[in-house]
Amino acid sequence: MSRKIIIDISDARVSNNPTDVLTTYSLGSCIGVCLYDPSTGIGSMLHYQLPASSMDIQRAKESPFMFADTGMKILLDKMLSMGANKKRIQVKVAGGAAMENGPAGFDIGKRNYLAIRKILWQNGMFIDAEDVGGSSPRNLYLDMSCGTVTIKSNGFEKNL
Amino acid sequence: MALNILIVDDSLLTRKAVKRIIGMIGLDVGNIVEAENGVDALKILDETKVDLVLADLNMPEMGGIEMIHKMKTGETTKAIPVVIVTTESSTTRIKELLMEGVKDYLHKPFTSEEFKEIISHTLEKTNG
Amino acid sequence: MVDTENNLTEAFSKTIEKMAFLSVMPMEKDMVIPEKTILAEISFTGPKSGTLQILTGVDFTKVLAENISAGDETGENACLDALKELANVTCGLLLPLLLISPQDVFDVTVPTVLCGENSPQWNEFTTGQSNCVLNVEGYLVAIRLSYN
Repeated sequence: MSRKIIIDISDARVSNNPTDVLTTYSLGSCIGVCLYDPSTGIGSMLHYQLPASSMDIQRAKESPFMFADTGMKILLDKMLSMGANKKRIQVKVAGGAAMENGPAGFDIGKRNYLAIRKILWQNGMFIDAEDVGGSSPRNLYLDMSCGTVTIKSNGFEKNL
Repeated sequence: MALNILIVDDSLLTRKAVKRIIGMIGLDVGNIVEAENGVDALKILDETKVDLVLADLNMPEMGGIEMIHKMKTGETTKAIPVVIVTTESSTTRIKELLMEGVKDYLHKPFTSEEFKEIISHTLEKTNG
Repeated sequence: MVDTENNLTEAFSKTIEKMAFLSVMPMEKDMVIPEKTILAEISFTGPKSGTLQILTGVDFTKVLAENISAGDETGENACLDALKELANVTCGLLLPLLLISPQDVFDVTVPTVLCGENSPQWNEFTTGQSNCVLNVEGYLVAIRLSYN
């Protein structure tokens, strides 16, 4: 019996429970990152809003998952401490849309996407699949039983 | 079998980036050697067994096109697979190089995923 | 003129995003004018002939080198190399936008850099002639395309 674990905006969750389905809604200009190590069954999801903690260092201390760099560092450190391996981790990314009513800042969706690309490059990791850009919000699901990532947007559903 | 790879590019950072991506792919790699231009690359090919050449075209001293021509006429170098990593936009020139035996090409700027796909595809084609 | 500016911005933006994970943003008030500059240039011949130049501050080239190398390289050589490669790749994306016919072929030189006293001052470079001045995440970058 699967259990939906909701990840809010500026939040993240790590899991090794195969009954969990990590879920986040309304990815607009935000980016949702799914990480999954198939060997250990350890996975995580991050829903971040802004590309860099340097934009607001105080805020980043209070809410590290709001930013790509601080959020990903915590997530990766946690997964590795649980036994995951960077070389095995599958990375799937969604969001980064250009939203009309998004947060202030020029094309923040694109900047958010470039931020995760940079972080993954620094960590020596590839993006295995992505669904980014456009102008529609997305819902994102990571099935911890098998690592399958699903996107729902505009009434359509697809696996990444 | 461990691959020996030669990276030919006058940009230090590009050579480093390519080397980094090769490490990320997790290929069975023996030696990775670097050269800044076609002259240095040909010297290395004279002295070292190389299984794959990744080459820029626009370089000082000797560019990639001349280097490839010389490789294709050398007994020990003509069969070495070459992938060009280039800013060259002319499809005419790219097609000529492909007809000369270059295995594939990748336009700069490239993502690490695009590079991985080209290299994996090239090695599959080469190993049959 | 507007076409040139659009073409330069398009080629540069695509390059900087893919190579260095940086984006071009709207100009801000009171942006800091770089004191120590580095100039990279690359020339081309073909259906049109000319030179592409990119001028920016040393600080930006450090960010560029750091991003391209995943943090491994930030020394002076890496900074110069980063800016040369930026000019090289930008030119590669720019030239197809200048084609008159699909069969056109361009030849390009190897990019060069000028730094220290040999590099032009920012105001000297950006005044008078047609330039495209861009804000790359808080750093000023000036790009000039001149035809022979």
